[in-house]
Amino acid sequence: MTERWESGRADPARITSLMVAYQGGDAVAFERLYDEVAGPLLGYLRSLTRDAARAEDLLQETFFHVHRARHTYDPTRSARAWLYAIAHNVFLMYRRASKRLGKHEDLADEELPEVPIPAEMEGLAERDLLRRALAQLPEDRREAVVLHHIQGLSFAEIGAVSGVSAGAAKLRAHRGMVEMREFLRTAGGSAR
Amino acid sequence: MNVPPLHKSLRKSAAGGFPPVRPVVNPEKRALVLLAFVPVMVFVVLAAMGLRHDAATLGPMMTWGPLVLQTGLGLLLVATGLVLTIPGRATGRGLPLSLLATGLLAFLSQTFATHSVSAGPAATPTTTAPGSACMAVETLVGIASLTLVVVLARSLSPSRVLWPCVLAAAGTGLIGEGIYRLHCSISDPAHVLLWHGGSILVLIAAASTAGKVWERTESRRMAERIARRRS
Repeated sequence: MTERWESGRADPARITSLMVAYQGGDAVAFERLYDEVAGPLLGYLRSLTRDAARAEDLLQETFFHVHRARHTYDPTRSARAWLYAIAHNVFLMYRRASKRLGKHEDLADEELPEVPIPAEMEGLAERDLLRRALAQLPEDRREAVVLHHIQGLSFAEIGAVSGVSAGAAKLRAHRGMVEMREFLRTAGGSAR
Repeated sequence: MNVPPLHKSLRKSAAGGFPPVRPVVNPEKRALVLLAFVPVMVFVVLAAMGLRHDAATLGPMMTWGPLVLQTGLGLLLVATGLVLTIPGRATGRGLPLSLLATGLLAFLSQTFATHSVSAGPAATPTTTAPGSACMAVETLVGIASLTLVVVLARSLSPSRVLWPCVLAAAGTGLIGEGIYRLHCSISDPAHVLLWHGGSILVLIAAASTAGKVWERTESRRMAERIARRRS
Protein backbone atom coordinates (compact mmCIF):
# COMPACT_ATOMS: atom_id res chain seq x y z
CA MET A 1 0.00 0.00 0.00
CA THR A 2 1.22 3.46 -0.75
CA GLU A 3 0.14 6.64 1.00
CA ARG A 4 -1.10 8.72 -1.89
CA TRP A 5 -4.18 10.63 -0.88
CA GLU A 6 -3.90 14.34 -1.25
CA SER A 7 -6.71 16.77 -1.80
CA GLY A 8 -8.98 14.21 -3.41
CA ARG A 9 -9.14 16.21 -6.62
CA ALA A 10 -7.39 15.32 -9.82
CA ASP A 11 -6.04 18.08 -12.08
CA PRO A 12 -8.19 17.97 -15.28
CA ALA A 13 -5.53 19.39 -17.61
CA ARG A 14 -2.90 16.97 -16.38
CA ILE A 15 -5.25 14.01 -16.70
CA THR A 16 -6.10 15.00 -20.25
CA SER A 17 -2.45 15.26 -21.27
CA LEU A 18 -1.68 11.90 -19.63
CA MET A 19 -4.66 10.31 -21.39
CA VAL A 20 -3.48 11.61 -24.76
CA ALA A 21 0.04 10.27 -24.12
CA TYR A 22 -1.45 6.97 -22.94
CA GLN A 23 -3.51 6.69 -26.12
CA GLY A 24 -0.28 7.29 -28.01
CA GLY A 25 1.16 4.11 -26.50
CA ASP A 26 3.14 5.68 -23.65
CA ALA A 27 3.23 3.08 -20.89
CA VAL A 28 4.72 5.51 -18.38
CA ALA A 29 1.77 7.84 -18.94
CA PHE A 30 -0.54 4.99 -17.98
CA GLU A 31 1.23 4.53 -14.64
CA ARG A 32 1.30 8.28 -14.05
CA LEU A 33 -2.38 8.45 -14.86
CA TYR A 34 -2.96 5.82 -12.21
CA ASP A 35 -0.91 7.80 -9.71
CA GLU A 36 -2.91 10.88 -10.52
CA VAL A 37 -6.46 9.54 -10.40
CA ALA A 38 -6.36 6.35 -8.31
CA GLY A 39 -6.82 8.26 -5.04
CA PRO A 40 -9.84 10.31 -6.12
CA LEU A 41 -11.38 7.31 -7.88
CA LEU A 42 -10.88 5.16 -4.79
CA GLY A 43 -12.62 7.80 -2.68
CA TYR A 44 -15.49 7.87 -5.13
CA LEU A 45 -15.77 4.07 -5.19
CA ARG A 46 -15.63 3.92 -1.40
CA SER A 47 -18.50 6.33 -1.17
CA LEU A 48 -20.50 4.11 -3.52
CA THR A 49 -19.61 0.68 -2.17
CA ARG A 50 -19.19 1.66 1.50
CA ASP A 51 -16.68 -1.17 1.62
CA ALA A 52 -12.97 -0.33 1.56
CA ALA A 53 -11.76 -3.70 0.29
CA ARG A 54 -14.42 -3.88 -2.38
CA ALA A 55 -13.60 -0.35 -3.51
CA GLU A 56 -9.97 -1.39 -4.02
CA ASP A 57 -11.12 -4.34 -6.13
CA LEU A 58 -13.30 -2.05 -8.20
CA LEU A 59 -10.45 0.43 -8.62
CA GLN A 60 -8.35 -2.28 -10.28
CA GLU A 61 -11.35 -3.30 -12.34
CA THR A 62 -11.88 0.32 -13.37
CA PHE A 63 -8.33 0.46 -14.71
CA PHE A 64 -8.85 -2.84 -16.50
CA HIS A 65 -11.76 -1.20 -18.35
CA VAL A 66 -9.82 2.05 -18.82
CA HIS A 67 -7.10 0.07 -20.58
CA ARG A 68 -9.57 -1.89 -22.69
CA ALA A 69 -11.59 1.14 -23.76
CA ARG A 70 -8.80 3.73 -23.94
CA HIS A 71 -9.50 4.39 -27.62
CA THR A 72 -13.01 5.62 -26.75
CA TYR A 73 -11.68 8.67 -24.92
CA ASP A 74 -12.13 11.79 -27.03
CA PRO A 75 -9.32 14.25 -26.14
CA THR A 76 -11.62 17.21 -26.79
CA ARG A 77 -13.90 16.11 -23.96
CA SER A 78 -13.56 15.80 -20.20
CA ALA A 79 -11.15 13.04 -19.22
CA ARG A 80 -12.54 13.08 -15.68
CA ALA A 81 -16.08 12.42 -16.89
CA TRP A 82 -14.78 9.53 -19.00
CA LEU A 83 -12.81 8.00 -16.11
CA TYR A 84 -15.52 8.44 -13.49
CA ALA A 85 -18.12 7.08 -15.91
CA ILE A 86 -16.07 3.91 -16.24
CA ALA A 87 -15.81 3.67 -12.45
CA HIS A 88 -19.58 4.27 -12.22
CA ASN A 89 -20.27 1.50 -14.76
CA VAL A 90 -17.91 -0.86 -12.94
CA PHE A 91 -19.77 -0.17 -9.70
CA LEU A 92 -23.11 -0.91 -11.39
CA MET A 93 -21.70 -4.17 -12.74
CA TYR A 94 -20.43 -5.09 -9.28
CA ARG A 95 -23.82 -4.36 -7.75
CA ARG A 96 -25.57 -6.43 -10.40
CA ALA A 97 -23.22 -9.37 -9.82
CA SER A 98 -23.59 -9.04 -6.03
CA LYS A 99 -27.36 -9.04 -6.20
CA ARG A 100 -27.35 -12.11 -8.39
CA LEU A 101 -25.02 -13.91 -6.00
CA GLY A 102 -27.02 -12.70 -3.00
CA LYS A 103 -23.94 -11.08 -1.52
CA HIS A 104 -25.17 -7.53 -1.46
CA GLU A 105 -25.27 -6.01 1.98
CA ASP A 106 -25.15 -2.49 3.26
CA LEU A 107 -22.64 -1.82 5.98
CA ALA A 108 -23.72 -0.38 9.28
CA ASP A 109 -22.76 3.25 9.77
CA GLU A 110 -20.05 2.45 12.29
CA GLU A 111 -18.44 0.09 9.78
CA LEU A 112 -18.18 2.68 7.07
CA PRO A 113 -14.71 3.07 5.60
CA GLU A 114 -13.00 6.39 5.49
CA VAL A 115 -14.60 8.46 2.78
CA PRO A 116 -13.74 12.04 1.92
CA ILE A 117 -15.90 14.81 3.38
CA PRO A 118 -17.05 17.94 1.52
CA ALA A 119 -14.77 20.85 2.39
CA GLU A 120 -17.83 23.05 3.01
CA MET A 121 -18.83 20.77 5.85
CA GLU A 122 -15.48 20.21 7.51
CA GLY A 123 -16.16 22.75 10.25
CA LEU A 124 -19.74 21.75 10.92
CA ALA A 125 -19.26 18.65 13.01
CA GLU A 126 -16.87 15.89 13.92
CA ARG A 127 -15.48 13.93 11.02
CA ASP A 128 -17.20 10.75 12.13
CA LEU A 129 -20.59 12.43 12.26
CA LEU A 130 -19.99 14.00 8.86
CA ARG A 131 -19.13 10.61 7.47
CA ARG A 132 -22.38 9.20 8.83
CA ALA A 133 -24.28 12.16 7.42
CA LEU A 134 -22.82 11.44 3.99
CA ALA A 135 -23.42 7.73 4.33
CA GLN A 136 -27.12 8.09 5.13
CA LEU A 137 -27.80 9.88 1.84
CA PRO A 138 -29.54 7.99 -0.94
CA GLU A 139 -26.98 6.64 -3.37
CA ASP A 140 -27.69 9.09 -6.21
CA ARG A 141 -27.43 12.14 -3.93
CA ARG A 142 -24.33 10.82 -2.18
CA GLU A 143 -22.72 10.30 -5.57
CA ALA A 144 -23.57 13.83 -6.70
CA VAL A 145 -22.29 15.35 -3.43
CA VAL A 146 -19.04 13.38 -3.61
CA LEU A 147 -18.44 14.13 -7.28
CA HIS A 148 -19.18 17.85 -7.04
CA HIS A 149 -18.17 18.94 -3.54
CA ILE A 150 -15.24 16.57 -3.07
CA GLN A 151 -13.96 15.58 -6.48
CA GLY A 152 -14.69 18.94 -8.05
CA LEU A 153 -16.58 17.76 -11.13
CA SER A 154 -18.95 20.16 -12.83
CA PHE A 155 -22.64 19.32 -12.96
CA ALA A 156 -22.36 18.65 -16.69
CA GLU A 157 -19.58 16.14 -15.96
CA ILE A 158 -21.62 14.51 -13.18
CA GLY A 159 -24.57 14.23 -15.56
CA ALA A 160 -22.34 12.52 -18.11
CA VAL A 161 -21.07 10.11 -15.43
CA SER A 162 -24.45 9.24 -13.93
CA GLY A 163 -26.54 9.39 -17.07
CA VAL A 164 -28.70 12.33 -16.03
CA SER A 165 -28.96 15.93 -17.15
CA ALA A 166 -26.73 18.61 -15.60
CA GLY A 167 -29.81 20.11 -13.97
CA ALA A 168 -30.76 16.80 -12.36
CA ALA A 169 -27.17 16.38 -11.12
CA LYS A 170 -27.27 19.85 -9.57
CA LEU A 171 -30.57 19.10 -7.88
CA ARG A 172 -29.22 15.84 -6.47
CA ALA A 173 -26.14 17.55 -5.06
CA HIS A 174 -28.20 20.37 -3.58
CA ARG A 175 -30.71 18.02 -1.97
CA GLY A 176 -27.85 15.90 -0.69
CA MET A 177 -26.26 18.87 1.05
CA VAL A 178 -29.62 19.93 2.52
CA GLU A 179 -30.17 16.41 3.84
CA MET A 180 -26.68 16.29 5.31
CA ARG A 181 -27.24 19.57 7.15
CA GLU A 182 -30.59 18.29 8.39
CA PHE A 183 -28.95 15.10 9.62
CA LEU A 184 -26.25 17.05 11.44
CA ARG A 185 -28.86 19.31 13.02
CA THR A 186 -30.97 16.42 14.32
CA ALA A 187 -27.88 14.47 15.33
CA GLY A 188 -26.85 17.38 17.54
CA GLY A 189 -24.09 18.63 15.31
CA SER A 190 -23.17 22.23 14.98
CA ALA A 191 -24.86 22.71 11.63
CA ARG A 192 -25.92 26.24 10.90
CA MET B 1 -6.40 7.13 2.51
CA ASN B 2 -4.24 4.26 1.32
CA VAL B 3 -4.23 3.73 -2.41
CA PRO B 4 -3.29 0.24 -3.58
CA PRO B 5 -0.67 0.03 -6.34
CA LEU B 6 -1.72 -0.85 -9.86
CA HIS B 7 -2.38 -4.58 -10.01
CA LYS B 8 0.54 -6.62 -11.28
CA SER B 9 -1.39 -7.98 -14.27
CA LEU B 10 -2.11 -4.47 -15.51
CA ARG B 11 1.38 -3.30 -14.61
CA LYS B 12 2.81 -6.21 -16.59
CA SER B 13 0.61 -5.32 -19.54
CA ALA B 14 1.77 -1.71 -19.37
CA ALA B 15 5.42 -2.68 -19.01
CA GLY B 16 5.17 -4.87 -22.09
CA GLY B 17 4.08 -1.84 -24.06
CA PHE B 18 0.91 -1.40 -26.04
CA PRO B 19 0.21 -0.02 -29.47
CA PRO B 20 -1.04 3.51 -29.90
CA VAL B 21 -4.77 3.81 -30.47
CA ARG B 22 -6.70 6.26 -32.57
CA PRO B 23 -9.34 8.00 -30.45
CA VAL B 24 -12.94 7.46 -31.45
CA VAL B 25 -14.02 11.06 -31.80
CA ASN B 26 -17.38 10.65 -33.53
CA PRO B 27 -18.91 7.25 -32.79
CA GLU B 28 -22.18 8.49 -34.29
CA LYS B 29 -20.58 8.59 -37.74
CA ARG B 30 -20.43 4.80 -37.71
CA ALA B 31 -24.20 4.76 -38.16
CA LEU B 32 -23.67 6.14 -41.66
CA VAL B 33 -22.57 2.66 -42.72
CA LEU B 34 -26.28 1.86 -42.72
CA LEU B 35 -26.71 4.35 -45.55
CA ALA B 36 -24.87 1.92 -47.79
CA PHE B 37 -26.93 -0.97 -46.44
CA VAL B 38 -30.36 0.57 -47.07
CA PRO B 39 -30.14 0.81 -50.91
CA VAL B 40 -28.91 -2.78 -51.04
CA MET B 41 -31.87 -4.00 -48.96
CA VAL B 42 -34.29 -1.86 -50.98
CA PHE B 43 -32.95 -3.46 -54.16
CA VAL B 44 -33.21 -6.97 -52.69
CA VAL B 45 -36.79 -6.45 -51.42
CA LEU B 46 -38.00 -4.83 -54.64
CA ALA B 47 -36.24 -7.36 -56.87
CA ALA B 48 -37.62 -10.29 -54.92
CA MET B 49 -41.10 -9.00 -54.07
CA GLY B 50 -41.82 -5.98 -56.24
CA LEU B 51 -43.05 -2.45 -55.55
CA ARG B 52 -46.41 -2.03 -53.80
CA HIS B 53 -49.41 -2.27 -56.18
CA ASP B 54 -50.79 1.12 -55.27
CA ALA B 55 -47.55 3.04 -55.92
CA ALA B 56 -49.17 4.94 -58.79
CA THR B 57 -52.07 6.02 -56.57
CA LEU B 58 -49.75 7.07 -53.75
CA GLY B 59 -47.32 8.94 -55.98
CA PRO B 60 -43.54 9.09 -55.44
CA MET B 61 -43.73 11.25 -52.29
CA MET B 62 -46.05 8.91 -50.41
CA THR B 63 -44.32 5.79 -51.74
CA TRP B 64 -40.71 6.74 -51.04
CA GLY B 65 -41.22 9.46 -48.40
CA PRO B 66 -41.76 7.04 -45.49
CA LEU B 67 -38.53 5.24 -46.38
CA VAL B 68 -36.55 8.48 -46.42
CA LEU B 69 -38.06 9.77 -43.18
CA GLN B 70 -37.80 6.47 -41.32
CA THR B 71 -34.24 5.91 -42.51
CA GLY B 72 -33.30 9.37 -41.26
CA LEU B 73 -34.91 8.78 -37.88
CA GLY B 74 -33.50 5.26 -37.73
CA LEU B 75 -29.98 6.58 -38.34
CA LEU B 76 -30.49 9.15 -35.60
CA LEU B 77 -31.61 6.46 -33.15
CA VAL B 78 -28.69 4.17 -34.04
CA ALA B 79 -26.20 7.07 -33.86
CA THR B 80 -27.50 8.05 -30.42
CA GLY B 81 -27.25 4.42 -29.30
CA LEU B 82 -23.62 4.28 -30.46
CA VAL B 83 -22.79 7.52 -28.62
CA LEU B 84 -24.35 6.18 -25.41
CA THR B 85 -21.97 3.20 -25.41
CA ILE B 86 -19.07 5.61 -24.81
CA PRO B 87 -18.26 6.23 -21.13
CA GLY B 88 -19.00 9.79 -20.08
CA ARG B 89 -21.36 10.42 -22.97
CA ALA B 90 -24.51 9.34 -21.13
CA THR B 91 -27.43 11.73 -21.11
CA GLY B 92 -30.63 11.77 -19.16
CA ARG B 93 -33.47 9.56 -20.32
CA GLY B 94 -35.04 12.58 -22.01
CA LEU B 95 -33.09 12.33 -25.27
CA PRO B 96 -33.55 8.59 -25.89
CA LEU B 97 -37.22 8.73 -24.89
CA SER B 98 -37.94 11.76 -27.08
CA LEU B 99 -36.21 10.08 -30.03
CA LEU B 100 -38.24 6.92 -29.49
CA ALA B 101 -41.42 9.00 -29.25
CA THR B 102 -40.52 10.82 -32.48
CA GLY B 103 -39.95 7.48 -34.23
CA LEU B 104 -43.31 6.21 -33.01
CA LEU B 105 -45.03 9.41 -34.11
CA ALA B 106 -43.46 9.20 -37.57
CA PHE B 107 -44.53 5.57 -37.90
CA LEU B 108 -48.11 6.30 -36.83
CA SER B 109 -48.52 9.46 -38.91
CA GLN B 110 -47.25 7.74 -42.07
CA THR B 111 -49.49 4.76 -41.45
CA PHE B 112 -52.60 6.94 -41.29
CA ALA B 113 -51.45 9.27 -44.07
CA THR B 114 -50.85 6.35 -46.44
CA HIS B 115 -54.23 4.86 -45.56
CA SER B 116 -55.98 8.15 -46.24
CA VAL B 117 -54.54 8.29 -49.78
CA SER B 118 -54.79 4.60 -50.68
CA ALA B 119 -56.85 2.24 -48.53
CA GLY B 120 -55.38 -0.81 -50.31
CA PRO B 121 -56.74 -4.28 -49.57
CA ALA B 122 -58.59 -4.57 -46.26
CA ALA B 123 -56.97 -6.47 -43.40
CA THR B 124 -59.53 -9.25 -43.04
CA PRO B 125 -58.87 -12.52 -41.23
CA THR B 126 -57.66 -13.90 -44.55
CA THR B 127 -54.78 -11.43 -44.45
CA THR B 128 -53.40 -13.01 -41.29
CA ALA B 129 -51.00 -15.11 -43.33
CA PRO B 130 -49.68 -12.09 -45.30
CA GLY B 131 -49.48 -10.30 -41.97
CA SER B 132 -47.20 -12.87 -40.42
CA ALA B 133 -45.18 -12.97 -43.65
CA CYS B 134 -44.80 -9.17 -43.45
CA MET B 135 -43.61 -9.50 -39.87
CA ALA B 136 -41.15 -12.25 -40.72
CA VAL B 137 -39.56 -10.48 -43.70
CA GLU B 138 -39.46 -7.12 -41.95
CA THR B 139 -37.89 -8.66 -38.84
CA LEU B 140 -35.25 -10.33 -41.02
CA VAL B 141 -34.38 -6.98 -42.64
CA GLY B 142 -34.20 -5.44 -39.16
CA ILE B 143 -32.01 -8.24 -37.82
CA ALA B 144 -29.61 -7.87 -40.75
CA SER B 145 -29.13 -4.17 -40.09
CA LEU B 146 -29.03 -4.68 -36.31
CA THR B 147 -26.25 -7.22 -36.74
CA LEU B 148 -24.32 -4.61 -38.67
CA VAL B 149 -24.80 -2.14 -35.80
CA VAL B 150 -23.61 -4.73 -33.24
CA VAL B 151 -20.44 -5.24 -35.28
CA LEU B 152 -19.92 -1.47 -35.32
CA ALA B 153 -20.54 -1.17 -31.57
CA ARG B 154 -18.32 -4.07 -30.49
CA SER B 155 -15.11 -2.18 -31.14
CA LEU B 156 -16.31 0.58 -28.80
CA SER B 157 -15.82 -1.78 -25.80
CA PRO B 158 -19.14 -0.84 -24.24
CA SER B 159 -19.91 -1.71 -20.63
CA ARG B 160 -23.52 -0.50 -20.47
CA VAL B 161 -25.61 -1.53 -23.42
CA LEU B 162 -29.29 -1.64 -22.50
CA TRP B 163 -30.27 1.80 -23.81
CA PRO B 164 -27.99 1.51 -26.84
CA CYS B 165 -29.60 -1.86 -27.65
CA VAL B 166 -33.12 -0.43 -27.39
CA LEU B 167 -32.24 2.58 -29.54
CA ALA B 168 -30.37 0.54 -32.15
CA ALA B 169 -33.23 -1.97 -32.39
CA ALA B 170 -35.83 0.78 -32.70
CA GLY B 171 -33.72 2.51 -35.34
CA THR B 172 -33.04 -0.58 -37.42
CA GLY B 173 -36.65 -1.69 -36.96
CA LEU B 174 -37.85 1.64 -38.28
CA ILE B 175 -35.50 1.38 -41.26
CA GLY B 176 -36.64 -2.19 -41.93
CA GLU B 177 -40.27 -1.10 -41.79
CA GLY B 178 -39.56 1.75 -44.21
CA ILE B 179 -37.95 -0.67 -46.64
CA TYR B 180 -40.70 -3.29 -46.40
CA ARG B 181 -43.42 -0.64 -46.73
CA LEU B 182 -42.22 -0.21 -50.32
CA HIS B 183 -43.60 -3.67 -51.06
CA CYS B 184 -46.60 -4.16 -48.77
CA SER B 185 -49.77 -2.72 -50.27
CA ILE B 186 -51.94 -3.32 -47.21
CA SER B 187 -52.48 0.14 -45.78
CA ASP B 188 -55.07 -0.86 -43.19
CA PRO B 189 -53.79 0.68 -39.92
CA ALA B 190 -54.73 -2.50 -38.02
CA HIS B 191 -52.41 -4.54 -40.26
CA VAL B 192 -49.58 -2.02 -40.23
CA LEU B 193 -49.71 -1.44 -36.48
CA LEU B 194 -50.03 -5.11 -35.59
CA TRP B 195 -47.63 -6.78 -38.01
CA HIS B 196 -45.24 -4.02 -39.07
CA GLY B 197 -45.19 -2.31 -35.67
CA GLY B 198 -45.03 -5.75 -34.03
CA SER B 199 -41.85 -6.48 -35.95
CA ILE B 200 -40.20 -3.35 -34.48
CA LEU B 201 -41.34 -4.37 -31.00
CA VAL B 202 -39.95 -7.88 -31.50
CA LEU B 203 -36.59 -6.39 -32.45
CA ILE B 204 -36.60 -4.08 -29.43
CA ALA B 205 -37.56 -6.93 -27.08
CA ALA B 206 -34.90 -9.23 -28.54
CA ALA B 207 -32.19 -6.56 -28.43
CA SER B 208 -32.99 -5.48 -24.87
CA THR B 209 -32.97 -9.11 -23.73
CA ALA B 210 -29.63 -9.64 -25.48
CA GLY B 211 -28.35 -6.44 -23.84
CA LYS B 212 -29.39 -7.62 -20.39
CA VAL B 213 -27.79 -11.02 -20.93
CA TRP B 214 -24.61 -9.34 -22.17
CA GLU B 215 -24.49 -7.03 -19.13
CA ARG B 216 -25.05 -9.99 -16.78
CA THR B 217 -22.28 -11.95 -18.47
CA GLU B 218 -19.90 -8.99 -18.18
CA SER B 219 -20.81 -8.62 -14.48
CA ARG B 220 -20.15 -12.31 -13.88
CA ARG B 221 -16.80 -12.11 -15.67
CA MET B 222 -15.89 -9.09 -13.59
CA ALA B 223 -16.72 -10.97 -10.38
CA GLU B 224 -14.52 -13.84 -11.57
CA ARG B 225 -11.62 -11.49 -12.37
CA ILE B 226 -11.88 -9.95 -8.91
CA ALA B 227 -11.91 -13.39 -7.29
CA ARG B 228 -8.83 -14.39 -9.30
CA ARG B 229 -6.97 -11.22 -8.30
CA ARG B 230 -7.80 -11.83 -4.66
CA SER B 231 -6.55 -15.39 -4.80
